[in-house]
Amino acid sequence: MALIALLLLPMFGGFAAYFLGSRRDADRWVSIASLAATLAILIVTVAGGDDGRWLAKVDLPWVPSFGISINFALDGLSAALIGIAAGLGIIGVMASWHEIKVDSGLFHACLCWTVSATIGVFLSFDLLVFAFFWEAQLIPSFMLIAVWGHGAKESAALKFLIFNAVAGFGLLAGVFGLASMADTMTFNAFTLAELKLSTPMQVWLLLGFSLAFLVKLSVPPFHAWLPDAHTLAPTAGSILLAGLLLKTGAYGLFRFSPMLFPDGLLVLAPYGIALGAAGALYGGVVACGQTDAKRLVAYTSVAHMCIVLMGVAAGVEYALAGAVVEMVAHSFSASALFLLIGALYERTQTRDLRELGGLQQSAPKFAAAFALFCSALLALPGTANFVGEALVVVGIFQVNWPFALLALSTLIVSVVYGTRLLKGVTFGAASPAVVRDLGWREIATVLTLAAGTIAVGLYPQSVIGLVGPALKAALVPHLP
Amino acid sequence: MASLLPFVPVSALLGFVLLALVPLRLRRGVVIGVGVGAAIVPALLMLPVGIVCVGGACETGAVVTILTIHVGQLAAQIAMSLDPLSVVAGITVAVVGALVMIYAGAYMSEEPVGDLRRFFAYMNLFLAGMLAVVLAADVLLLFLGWETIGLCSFFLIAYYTKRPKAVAAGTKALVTTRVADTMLLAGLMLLFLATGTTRFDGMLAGVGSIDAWHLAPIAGLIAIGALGKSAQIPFHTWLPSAMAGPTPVSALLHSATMVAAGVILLVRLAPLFAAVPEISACVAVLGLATAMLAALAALLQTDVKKLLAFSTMSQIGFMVLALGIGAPAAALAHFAIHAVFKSLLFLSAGIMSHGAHGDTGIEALRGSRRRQPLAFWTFAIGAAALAGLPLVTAGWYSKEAMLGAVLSSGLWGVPLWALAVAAVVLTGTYSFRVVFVAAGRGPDKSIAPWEGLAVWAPLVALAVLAVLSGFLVDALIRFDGGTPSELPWIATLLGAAAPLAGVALARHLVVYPQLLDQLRAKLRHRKVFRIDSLYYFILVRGFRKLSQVMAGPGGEQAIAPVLEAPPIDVVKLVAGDPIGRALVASATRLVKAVVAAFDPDRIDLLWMRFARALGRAWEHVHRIQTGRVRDQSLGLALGFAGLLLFAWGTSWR
Repeated sequence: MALIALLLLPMFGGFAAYFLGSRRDADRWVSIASLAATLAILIVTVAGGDDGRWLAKVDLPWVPSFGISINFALDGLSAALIGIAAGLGIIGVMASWHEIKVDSGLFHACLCWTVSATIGVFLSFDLLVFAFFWEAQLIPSFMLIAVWGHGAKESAALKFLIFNAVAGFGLLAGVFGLASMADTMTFNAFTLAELKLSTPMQVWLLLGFSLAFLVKLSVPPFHAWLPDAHTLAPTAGSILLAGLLLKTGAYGLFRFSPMLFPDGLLVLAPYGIALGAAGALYGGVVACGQTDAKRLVAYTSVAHMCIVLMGVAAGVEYALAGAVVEMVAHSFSASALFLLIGALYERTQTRDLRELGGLQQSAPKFAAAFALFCSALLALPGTANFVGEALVVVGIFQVNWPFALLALSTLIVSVVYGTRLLKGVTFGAASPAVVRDLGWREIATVLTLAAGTIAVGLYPQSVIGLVGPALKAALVPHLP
Repeated sequence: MASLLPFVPVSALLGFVLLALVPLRLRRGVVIGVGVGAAIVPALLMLPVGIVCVGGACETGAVVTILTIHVGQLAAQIAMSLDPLSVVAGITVAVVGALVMIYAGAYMSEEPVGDLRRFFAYMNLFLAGMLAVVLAADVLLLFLGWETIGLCSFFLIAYYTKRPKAVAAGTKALVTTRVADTMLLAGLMLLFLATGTTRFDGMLAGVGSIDAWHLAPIAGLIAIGALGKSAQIPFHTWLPSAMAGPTPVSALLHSATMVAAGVILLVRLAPLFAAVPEISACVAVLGLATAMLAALAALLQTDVKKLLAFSTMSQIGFMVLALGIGAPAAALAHFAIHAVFKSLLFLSAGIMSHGAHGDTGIEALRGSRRRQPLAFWTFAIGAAALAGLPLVTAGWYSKEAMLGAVLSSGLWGVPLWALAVAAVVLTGTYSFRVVFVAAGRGPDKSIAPWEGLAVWAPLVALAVLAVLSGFLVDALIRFDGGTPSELPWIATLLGAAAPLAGVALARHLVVYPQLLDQLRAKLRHRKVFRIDSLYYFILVRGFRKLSQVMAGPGGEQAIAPVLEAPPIDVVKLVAGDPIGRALVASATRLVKAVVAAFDPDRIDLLWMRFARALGRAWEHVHRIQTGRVRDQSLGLALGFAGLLLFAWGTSWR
């Protein structure tokens, strides 16, 4: 039942926020309360879970005649991602305390619903329900961009929606195709995983699934929706997009491709690594040429998600562990940078690196936070980002060393974009001359994310130990 | 006592945390006190550890495990080891670091408090990182420290954030060393995969079981990483520009510690390189080339800090040469001695240039002997140690140990030794040129000289060490597991004559300064080799162009001041050099051809074109929807006919 509560709490929190409205910040507090309660339930469930693969399971029939059921299961991987989802939800609310003035009730409802649908994605093992939540998370996040975004927000939101909805058909087709192979009508992933499919069939079905996953993961050439959506969304929207929505793509790949299509993955994995390596370099190089700080961070997301793709495709233990750590690391560092840039935009009304500068003098706390997270962005050892990338590369060295060298060369590109962002914002003459330094709410959120980045960076065991069993299940067989 | 080791870097780290993360306003005195104090503690901790080590604890090579990380079957440990290398290097780094920081407390005291806090925070973090590098018993801790010092050097070189030149120099240092670090990381990963452990002792024990084809790339990649950090040719271009940082930064980072990290790594992995003689030979040749060419470049400098930068490159070249021919103990001894006299040189040069109103030109130092006699004489002692004046200076003993090892290294020993002795002559020349100029009669500039114990005490301590530690060299080499080499008397005599010849040459050059100008005119390119400008034109501009074009038109102007502008007029420089011109032209053409395909994020454009095509298709399609009854009934009839046809077709078979 705890798992159902995880899903429903943010959803009802969203309704409550919508109906309470913005009087005395009721919507903000009720959102925070519901997300914090979700987090608390999650922690209790994880702490009370047994040591086996699954920490908790729920299986309720829903439409038995079509074999659809509410089949939720929680293991270390989903627990980590749900924890991030709820945590980033709270941080999103705190980051938009002053930014959102219009329709704030609906804004917080959309925020909570996005989190809720994402939690549904992380929990579902009934493929039809999974596909439902997969599509469901698009709608509130579309609203977040289209209503509260900046600039050409409508077209950015539409681009986001079209790309992901169209790719969603790949998932749906794959789900139906897979279900049609079974003798009895079922969408239960555990049952479907038992099927012995031929390798070509697995390849085709995996291609359908991957279309949805890769577009959500924003792997080039499917990344075109991401820079616009991330740049023009409000701060909380960017945080949720980068911290949660991208992760659902990685989660889907990680969870379902080795589980349902082991042979198909074995065929497609080399292409996955190649696509990831090319995409990571592409995203990095394009990031180096950006003048908009937020867009720069958006393109670095592309590069980092490609590293996750490489890790999952490599399918060896180090690489998979690296992919998970990279997911967590990216959630922390990208969210923190979006938060900081959003806060800076609130104060200066610009995100242009050519116009900004000199935070070192005008707002030293701001500059220190930027220095820390730019160091994470360029994968300084001691931050979680380095652990993730290094583990992925070690894994790829075991599989295919030329691609490992390509993946390593992204470290060189990352130092260029990392310092570019840092220098553009904090170095040089102070412009504008006076910038209000970080307030207590911002300091609290930034410190939380910084603590996460450094804790995982210095003690990656905290994440790797939690996801260990899930990781074993995702190993691609027959690889060295 | 070995359990004291982890606290050595931690105390410096604590200084960083206090200064960087405590959100309180701190007064100037508190900032300086915390910053300097946190840097002194490691030295105080290292000394008892060293005494225990000499007392016999080192032979067993005690290892202190700090943290264990389990990934699958692997248990990766973060650990520190107590062995001769870590103790010698640790004491050197901690003591020199403490003395430089005491000096920095006085040197930087006029800065605004916010900047001062930033300076000491990064200096402490740097010191912690460097101590982690020298004490590490595993690759994880080593690489953690390694990258930390890289990033700190960026922040410290670019300390004057409003000067574009300083920022560009910091970026250059970070990017260049990152390129080398990436190679190092690849090498360490391969070594880890081949041996299955992250601990150095396990790795070195496993070297024997790796076949030569795998070992060579591993050793090569690690060597590139070490040479990049140590600013050896062809990765040297960042070091001279790095002098844009404050003087204490140069004294700590670019003399005794950061650039020496590569040497430490090579000493640590000496058994690995002993197993791959081909790679070791390449390392030795690169070291020798750097030693000679950097000494030549130092001779041509007009700026004392740049001269010292090139001299650091050259001295580390000697160490790398010794490592390449397999004498790690001699290299480590020279590392310790060099750390002492090079920081002494930087610190006293800083005081002398302060007396010259902050001008770091060599000519501006003229008359320093009268203005600041103590700074001048300590500089002279440092220069004597650098030149390696026989018998009286420490530099001579450690240099002799290295040269002796080179000479006795086999067939190629004699020519390598002869070239190295030539470099020693040049060393004597460039170091004493500054001394002679500074001793000369100069304009009497009245400026309040620096006073106070904090300024003089480090200088005197370092000067005493630079003289006296010569008697320790043999003991040091034995302690590190080497054997002091016995040389034929003729070689010893030539080795002793070389610095003296250099000093005589320096005197000649100071008396006839036009000789140096002629030499400069003849060599024309003051930056060694044009490598700097070629890098700029091929790599930096190429990459910049690529990222601009791929990112779209918006990126055009923004990225312009990212890296340093070309230092000299390269067109003029390359003119009359067909190979260089062809290289630049073909590289430009190649980059252009590649990036033409990516004009602004081309993939995005394709998607948008697809969307527009859909829109046009819709324009065509919606004409059908006229709403007129006859059109609709026509459609109905056609559709019905089609359905009938389909039914007929399927039933027909």
